[in-house]
Amino acid sequence: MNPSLKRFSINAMGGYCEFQIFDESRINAKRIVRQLTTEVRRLEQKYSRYRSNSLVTAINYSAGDKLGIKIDSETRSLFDHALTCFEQSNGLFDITAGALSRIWDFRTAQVPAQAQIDALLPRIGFNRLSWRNSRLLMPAGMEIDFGGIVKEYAADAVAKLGRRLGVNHGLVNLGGDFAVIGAQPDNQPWTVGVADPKQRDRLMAKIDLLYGGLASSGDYERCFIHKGKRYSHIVNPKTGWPCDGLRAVSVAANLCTVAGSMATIAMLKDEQAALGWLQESGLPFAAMTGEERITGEGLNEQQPESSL
Amino acid sequence: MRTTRTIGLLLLTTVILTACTQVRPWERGILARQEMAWEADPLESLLNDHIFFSKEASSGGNSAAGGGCGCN
Amino acid sequence: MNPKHSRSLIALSTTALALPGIANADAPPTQNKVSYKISNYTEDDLSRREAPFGDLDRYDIDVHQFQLISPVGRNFSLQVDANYESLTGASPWFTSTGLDGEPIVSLSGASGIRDKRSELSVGTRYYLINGSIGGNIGYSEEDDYRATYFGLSGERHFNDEMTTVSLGFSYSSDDIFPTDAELFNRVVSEDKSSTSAVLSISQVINQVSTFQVALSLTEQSGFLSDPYKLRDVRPQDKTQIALTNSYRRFFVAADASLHVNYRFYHDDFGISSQTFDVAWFQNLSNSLQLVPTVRYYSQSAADFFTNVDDFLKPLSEYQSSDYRLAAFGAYSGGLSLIADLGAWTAVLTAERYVANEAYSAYAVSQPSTALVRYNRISLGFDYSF
Repeated sequence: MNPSLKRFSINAMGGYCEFQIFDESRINAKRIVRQLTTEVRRLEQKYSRYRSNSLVTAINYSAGDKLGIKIDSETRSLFDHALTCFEQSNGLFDITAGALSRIWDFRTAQVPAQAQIDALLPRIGFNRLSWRNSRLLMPAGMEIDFGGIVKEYAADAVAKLGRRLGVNHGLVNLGGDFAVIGAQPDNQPWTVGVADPKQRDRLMAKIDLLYGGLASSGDYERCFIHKGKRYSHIVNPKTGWPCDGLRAVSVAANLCTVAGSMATIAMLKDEQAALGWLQESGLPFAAMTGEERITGEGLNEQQPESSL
Repeated sequence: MRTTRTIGLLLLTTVILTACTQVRPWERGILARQEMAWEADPLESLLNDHIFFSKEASSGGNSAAGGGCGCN
Repeated sequence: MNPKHSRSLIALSTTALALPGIANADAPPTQNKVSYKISNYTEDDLSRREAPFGDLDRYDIDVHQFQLISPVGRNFSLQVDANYESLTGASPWFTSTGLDGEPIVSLSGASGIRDKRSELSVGTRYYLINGSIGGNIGYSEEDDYRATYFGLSGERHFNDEMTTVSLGFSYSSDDIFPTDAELFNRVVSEDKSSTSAVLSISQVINQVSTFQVALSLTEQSGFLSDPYKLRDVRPQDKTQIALTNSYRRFFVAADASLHVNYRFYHDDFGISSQTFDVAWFQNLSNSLQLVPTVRYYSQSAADFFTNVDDFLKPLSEYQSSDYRLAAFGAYSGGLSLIADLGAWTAVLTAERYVANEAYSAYAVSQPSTALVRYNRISLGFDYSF
């Protein structure tokens, strides 16, 4: 019995998702993929901002409710992680900032009036959320959005589930967020190509993954040029104005969730600060600067096997 | 004699605990393997505990016991 | 990865790793697992020198073990254990002195004993972010013995899941109603209870090794004597303490795992014991594993152990010739072959156990005659679905 690579794809989480699994039998692989898909669908259903019956919709609907809304332990853990993102980015990565990206709509390509921005800012701020035991109290007018966290978490959770179902070699791709179930046979890494945000058919970088995950963040597709200036859809929640840092970044880390948080925070920082911060982390990354220069660290090095 | 043994044991335990290196959860692939479990084969452990319980005076281990039997 | 991670990276990893879909420990099983194991246990017959009269056959037991572990919802698991044993043979009835002055043993009943034991236990476990709690209830029945028990346990991880502390508690209420009580002037109905508590601490040492210390305390009270012996008088209370140290280490180059356990035990019958066992789990290929095991056990005698029943002693004085209360040592060795066939796993085990007073690490003032030697063969299957 020689395991061969089986690939399965689905559409979920707003994008193309793919499971790659080495398994002896296609029947067994299918059985596993069915369980992985169920987990993706569950998280999608629970945390989608666009579904009227999702938990996130219910949370947003509870804004202003004096009694708050009961939060389960999984969601609470996501809030805990969101708090870490908020703290580690000095308030730049804020899951309550969703409303801002609506007034900076790249489709209308309009720079909003400062008054419009000022009206929104008081409704933003992770530290304005409060908890009473397991109930979340959200001030009126606020809303949350787990973008940059949930899809990455789903990739990790699905990879973990794959391992528990006995998959030794496999890779999960949820719309560009990757999590390794296990390295390829003979401990060979998975090579993940990161598309050049300017030319989708070219690769900006290749990153080898033995374990953990890779996540990307970028503004190339969702930004607009107004009077010669680039306006990103990634907005600084403190000023209400778009960030003017990196154009795109991909980070590899121990977990896809961590990679996603690192990438999102890097996009929100000033270019130099972002590059310094990524270098300090010691993680392999590839980034495109404002001048469309491609830079990165640790891309050609083999991801070291955990020292035994 | 027993005191020395107890002290020796405590010392050994302390040495082992302080010699630990931080193992992050994604580095625990090996520790998660079935053959690294405290009880790698639960039915085998249950059977052995049952036999030794009925043939030897000692009992007690790392998990709470079940019910007794007429074998002891 | 850079060995020196930035503070941000560590902070982000910490909360990410606490996410329930990612957290390493404590999720209910994802699949149903059914296990079945059939074992045959056969004791060597006594020699004519040890038992000049009566039966020489000792126990021959067939054991059927069945276990189901099943996830229930997202946070619970259910476990059902069922055991069935059928037993034939004889057990020591009384000991006396032979013509040469050596102690001899008489086994019970010319027709021997026939008994069966059925046991059913049901348990559930609730999985939390940082630990789990569980409980079980069980019932075991024999022709002459009935046990009803329950257990509670909980565990919690600390220190970035490097340390796990678990606590367990169990209580068993047992009824003893010997067969042919009137015919042989045995006790008609007695009971006993046992309560035990276990505290264990497990520690991850590095990427390939873990260590565990466990302390267990058991308090038994009630009828602790052997109702089938002509003369067997033991205290009504017994306190047992056991300290177990366990070590697991994986050898990457050998693709094998080493298990070492050492237990020290003491009770207020005056028995101390030490148990040392080692197992080596050798992976032979992706689907085959060979596991040799070696165990050494030795105990000291109970204060009131005698190898010759003294029928002249007053009934108020403790005495027992039960070989399990004698000083002895025992070596056992076994070999298991485990085949992993995808959803199926098969295990074949053979074991040999030999007890002898000559192996004792403790002083033997009165050697017992009826020490056991046995063979065991087991065949087990697991099926996951």
